[in-house]
Amino acid sequence: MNQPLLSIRGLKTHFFGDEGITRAVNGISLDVLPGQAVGIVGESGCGKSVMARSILRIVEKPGRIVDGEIILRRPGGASANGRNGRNGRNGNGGGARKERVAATTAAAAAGSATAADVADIAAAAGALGTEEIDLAQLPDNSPVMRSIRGGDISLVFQEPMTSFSPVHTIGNQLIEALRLHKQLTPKEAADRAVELLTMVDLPRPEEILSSYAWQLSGGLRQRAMIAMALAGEPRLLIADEPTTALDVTTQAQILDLLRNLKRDTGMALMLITHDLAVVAGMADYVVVMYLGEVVEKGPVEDIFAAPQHPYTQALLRSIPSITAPARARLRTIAGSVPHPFNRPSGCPFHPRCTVAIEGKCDREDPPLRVLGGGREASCHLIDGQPAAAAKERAFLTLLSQEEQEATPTAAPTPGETMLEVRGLRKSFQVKASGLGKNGARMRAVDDVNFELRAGETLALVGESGSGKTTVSRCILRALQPDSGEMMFRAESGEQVDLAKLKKKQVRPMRSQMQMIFQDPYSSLNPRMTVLDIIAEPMLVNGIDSRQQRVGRVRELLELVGLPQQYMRRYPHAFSGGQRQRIGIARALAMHPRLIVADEPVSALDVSVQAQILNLLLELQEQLGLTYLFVSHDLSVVKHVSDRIAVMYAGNLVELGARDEILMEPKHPYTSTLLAAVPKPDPSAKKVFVPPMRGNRPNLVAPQVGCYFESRCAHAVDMCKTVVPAWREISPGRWARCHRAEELTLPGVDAALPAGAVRGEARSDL
Amino acid sequence: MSSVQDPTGTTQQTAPAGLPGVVAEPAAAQGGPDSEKRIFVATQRQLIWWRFRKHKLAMVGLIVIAMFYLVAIFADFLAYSDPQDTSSQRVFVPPHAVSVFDGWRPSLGTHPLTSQRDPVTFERQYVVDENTRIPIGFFVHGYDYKLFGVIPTDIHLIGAKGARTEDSVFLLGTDELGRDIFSRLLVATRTSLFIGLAGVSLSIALGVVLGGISGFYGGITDTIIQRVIEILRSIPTIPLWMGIAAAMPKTWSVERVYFAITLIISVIGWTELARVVRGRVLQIRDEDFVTAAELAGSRPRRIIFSHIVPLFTSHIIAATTLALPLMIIAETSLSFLNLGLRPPAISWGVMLQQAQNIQTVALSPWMMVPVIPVVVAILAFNFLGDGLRDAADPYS
Repeated sequence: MNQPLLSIRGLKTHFFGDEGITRAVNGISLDVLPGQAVGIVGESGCGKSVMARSILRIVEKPGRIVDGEIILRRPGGASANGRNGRNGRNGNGGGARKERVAATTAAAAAGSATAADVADIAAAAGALGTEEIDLAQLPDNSPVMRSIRGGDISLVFQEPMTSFSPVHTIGNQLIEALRLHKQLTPKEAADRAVELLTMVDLPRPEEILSSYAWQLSGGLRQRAMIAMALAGEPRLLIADEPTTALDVTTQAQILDLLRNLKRDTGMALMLITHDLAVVAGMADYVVVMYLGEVVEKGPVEDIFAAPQHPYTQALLRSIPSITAPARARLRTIAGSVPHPFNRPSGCPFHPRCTVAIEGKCDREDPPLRVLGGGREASCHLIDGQPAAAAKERAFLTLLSQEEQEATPTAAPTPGETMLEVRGLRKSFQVKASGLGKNGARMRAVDDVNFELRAGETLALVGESGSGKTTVSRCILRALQPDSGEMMFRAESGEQVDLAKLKKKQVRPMRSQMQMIFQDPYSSLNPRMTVLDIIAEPMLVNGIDSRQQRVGRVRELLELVGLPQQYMRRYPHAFSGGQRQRIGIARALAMHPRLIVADEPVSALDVSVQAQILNLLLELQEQLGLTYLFVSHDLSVVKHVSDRIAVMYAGNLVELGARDEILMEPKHPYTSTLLAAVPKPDPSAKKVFVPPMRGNRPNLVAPQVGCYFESRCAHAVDMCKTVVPAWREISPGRWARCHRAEELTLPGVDAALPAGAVRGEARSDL
Repeated sequence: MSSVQDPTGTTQQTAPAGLPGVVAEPAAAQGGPDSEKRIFVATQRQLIWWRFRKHKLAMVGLIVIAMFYLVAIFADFLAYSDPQDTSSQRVFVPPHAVSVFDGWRPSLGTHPLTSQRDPVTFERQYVVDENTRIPIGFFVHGYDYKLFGVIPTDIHLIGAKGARTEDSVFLLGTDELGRDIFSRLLVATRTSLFIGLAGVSLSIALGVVLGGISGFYGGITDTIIQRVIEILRSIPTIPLWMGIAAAMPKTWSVERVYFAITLIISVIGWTELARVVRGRVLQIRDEDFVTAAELAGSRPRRIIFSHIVPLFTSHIIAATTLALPLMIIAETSLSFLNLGLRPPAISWGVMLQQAQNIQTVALSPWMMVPVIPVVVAILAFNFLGDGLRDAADPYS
């Protein structure tokens, strides 16, 4: 029987702040088997990272572990004794350290064991084999703890930039890590470092060794970080949101790398993420956390096929799937995760739960019930009664509700052209020097052409740095384009070239075009009340009567689904999702016709993201808005858009109707992008991720050939020398590729009917 | 609808019925309804104050500074002797405590001193006449002064009854001209603290305007202002002050010198503040809500005054508090070097300047008492400034 590598039992990590105790982690139990990939899922603020930090004992002050145990099992024998002796001599930590030799026959130690079982096993311990260390009992900085960090358990953070020191080369830091954990000569360590970098698929490892972290791109840096984490040959790698800061294609590569490393080295992986699709593709076993507690855990297929806990069910339904029908309403979870400081009584999820039992769920916190098959869930609905009956009841409620809402809205019939962008160009100075010397210029946006029809949603998709935000800001004239035209049909019906307008002339146009911002925190002035924020556009546009403004603010708040009583509150009183609603209300204040939404949901949690997307769709229907929807996330785009424009390196590379772009992309970049989107479906695990190698295009030097050529699998000689033209390959379908007509590229797997996976799962319940 | 919302329960019901998919989120937090409501509708000023109160050392600093300024405002009322009254009969009198009991009866009083020469060393010595008692009363008439600079009066908090206070009470001793150090110190506090305030106000005006312009408009304006700041900061301050001070005609009245010193000090002082303001403006300018205001059609003036300025006022207050001690030090050192205020003006620096020689240190160490308020005030200002700076951004 396979014994868990790491067993956490009843772990509680609390933060003792000035305002009171924050129960960030509140009684978590889970196991990680050797070689297993465990996915920890939950929205932000659910205590996932604190849990990871607790394992390595690097919780920041004023947090500390107040209860529970974290048992690490590592090969015992001579080395364990040796350590023990050293520990005794040091005199510290020896007493606090609980060392046990576990009975290897302890079958119950697998997935479903409860804390009590483990205590029994421990008491019965006697045989030889493995050494057990309770990490929760070790002093933070004891030698044993230090040998475990990096040696037995390694951690990869979300932001690789801050994980490396900027003043040492990658090589220095890697070699240092190696020599800390292994007795190696500098020469051996250097060789091993090259080996590690090769292992994480870094091209030209010698070059990387002598470079600094800030010289590498995000993806390369994350690879180097993983190499460093592997230095001590850990048996457990904890990856805390390892791909959240990366572009979708880079994310696919890093995930692929982690998957291969796990397979080749046999180490266990704990993957912490908010992204269920990532978990589906990576994990063997899934633990769903909510407010510092485990609400459900089980093998990945079961979790995705038949989620038991209402939170898991709701989470799964709120993911925008790239295979779902267009303009479908997403199922949302009411509200958002409360601050752990304000835990609801009883079941932590009950205020947001659609099937909560009044008088029960708000009083008692349900215990984790063992359901068999390695599954556990904590919900009163599965309590006591035959499991199937309870489940059925829960699903019936949810299903009927779903049917009501699931009717997708018909796409609006496209009207006349509202905005026509021709040859838009914008460049930025690369190096600003103090003495007015003219540096080189980077072409952020280079010859962008598209039109926007009244009532439609055009999505502008691309990776970071592709120029999509620059395009949107140019249209709103927050930036002055270098050249090009932007013909806008004003409300009066006359055509205005936005690019040529003087600053004063732009002002009257402002009320017709508005923007929704990405960051709900930076976009609201913290010193103004909600009323002042939403009323500002009216104030500066000459609606002088206060009464009139207050009335309109009331209307707007109702429109975006916020109670009117919140009018006098300041932004700090609101959660991210609520703030985004306030931002939307402000954008709508002057009855605009065109809304530019710049990544409006990328800063939000999955459940809140679904609420905002639904709101945007509803507002479009109600008010007949036209959206330019800027996003990096194709699954989100799929839900809201009618047409999609794909950007790469400041160019549009493809433009067409949504289904055409998704099903049969004509540009190799679009195809790569589509393949890289993680699918929330565990059976799609073996999907081949096309490697995207080569360099990012140089946007400063004059363009020769296609920007995508060095990364393109279909490139021919011509692509190196001839700049591809932007041409209409079929009516309404544009592409910038020499081979657009001849290539047949894979799109989203069309064979998979929408919602098929989840639909089947429900029927067998 | 009532404007008061119970965050614990009613939020769900207030979701608009017209939009099925839109569900109002429950208030960001639940439980503790009263404290929460307080925080949700709190203005930024209230949040800063709540956070500042937690900073113990800063609270101490605040209280000390408040006391200093109270003393400065009521300096003449608290002083008992005319700070300019000289007499050769009482030079270098050592500090002399006031007795609190007359026999067993509690009452303030003091004993007269008679000066005599040591027949061998010719050192001046003061002998206390324990048999005679001069009672000290409250709210007695003393020298004439103007309260708050306008109300003529001669009432002082304490004073000798039946004798001249100037000749009887020596709480901190006297200087080489027989002037009472305690009374002079109080009046000096007023000068030193207000010269700091005056200097800082001028610095703020210059710093905010120039720093704001520099940050908001950027480009060539920014470059010019920043270079000017760098040039000003690269000039060694003491020689600069010496030069300017030397240029001041000796015939100027005390008030004009006072004003000129303020100007000189703020010539350097504004640069630091201008940089703080510029940095803040640059940061705020990049915030999305400024872009949002621009897109709403707001003019630059509105953006500056209703979006940018209110956001950095708290930072300015903190920067000011940290700049004040520098001003005080500057004044003190200028006067100490005989470049600043000159007698008959009284400031901490002027007083210390008189204590500059070895004779004072050896024979009349009480002349150095003004060091204590200088150190205490500067520490208090720094604590206060630190606390304000930490509290200035309540959303971080």
